[in-house]
Amino acid sequence: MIETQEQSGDRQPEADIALIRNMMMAGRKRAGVDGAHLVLWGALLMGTFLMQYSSVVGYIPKMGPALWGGMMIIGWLGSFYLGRKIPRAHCEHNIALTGYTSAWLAVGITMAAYFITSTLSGQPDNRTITVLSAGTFGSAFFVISHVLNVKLLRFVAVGWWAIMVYMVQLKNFDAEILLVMGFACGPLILVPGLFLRRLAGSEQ
Amino acid sequence: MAGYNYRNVDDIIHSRVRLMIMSFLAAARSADFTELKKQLEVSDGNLSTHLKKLEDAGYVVQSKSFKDKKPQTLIAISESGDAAFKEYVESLAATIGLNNS
Repeated sequence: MIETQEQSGDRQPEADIALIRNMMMAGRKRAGVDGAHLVLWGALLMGTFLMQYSSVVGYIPKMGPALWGGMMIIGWLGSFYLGRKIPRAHCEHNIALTGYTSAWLAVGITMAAYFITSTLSGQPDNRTITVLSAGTFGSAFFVISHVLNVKLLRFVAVGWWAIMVYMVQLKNFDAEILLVMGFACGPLILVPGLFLRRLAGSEQ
Repeated sequence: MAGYNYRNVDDIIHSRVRLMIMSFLAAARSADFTELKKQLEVSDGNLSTHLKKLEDAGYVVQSKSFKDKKPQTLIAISESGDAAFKEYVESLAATIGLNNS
């Protein structure tokens, strides 16, 4: 108590609020999670689902697995580039960044493993890949909502799990599902990515 | 300008250096000792003393490890530290008449 009063005898709450704001800004930059990966993957997935829908209904020529393969290659290359842009020092012992990266890496590995094995075995299944995507996206958002302490992302996780449940109970899995997934990628990946970017640059 | 009501202030957080540590960690969640020292521009001894007080209060958790054969100390904010910091900021905001921090 004595030490505190001695140290803060001439301090004012307004100055402390400014100090807190500055330090939190520095801390947020340290966290290094700016949502760029989500914006990239959100846009790619949205575009791919909508292109696949257009392909299935005949608006554009049939594209098959090449469409998804191309999307994954672009996505992984983009993620690799974005990952290299983050200074190494920011990644070391950064629990938030490690949690965020690991969650999305797990999604990427799961999806790539399913895509490769199902394509090689000649049994790619739209329902399985859709359910798997929705489930893993929901799990990743749930994890990052906790490591980043951004409660809003829990609603995004619930959104993906709701889509997963909807897909599982569907009797007929038709082309319109691709439209649902395409449009879901907007509010449930692209928008959270833009929100995290805004948060990272925020002065709050 | 409104001054502090010291009866309502969390002494552990209120020290200027500890307030800076908690503010930084509230956003970053964790940092290593060297980085924290650089951010705060304080000496090793000064930072250690303040971290010890925060650790004794349960507001931060320190863990030691080795990287490239060099010892490293990682400091992370705890759940109770997070709650205490939020309460501190809310009382600070109330002091100057802000409804929401």
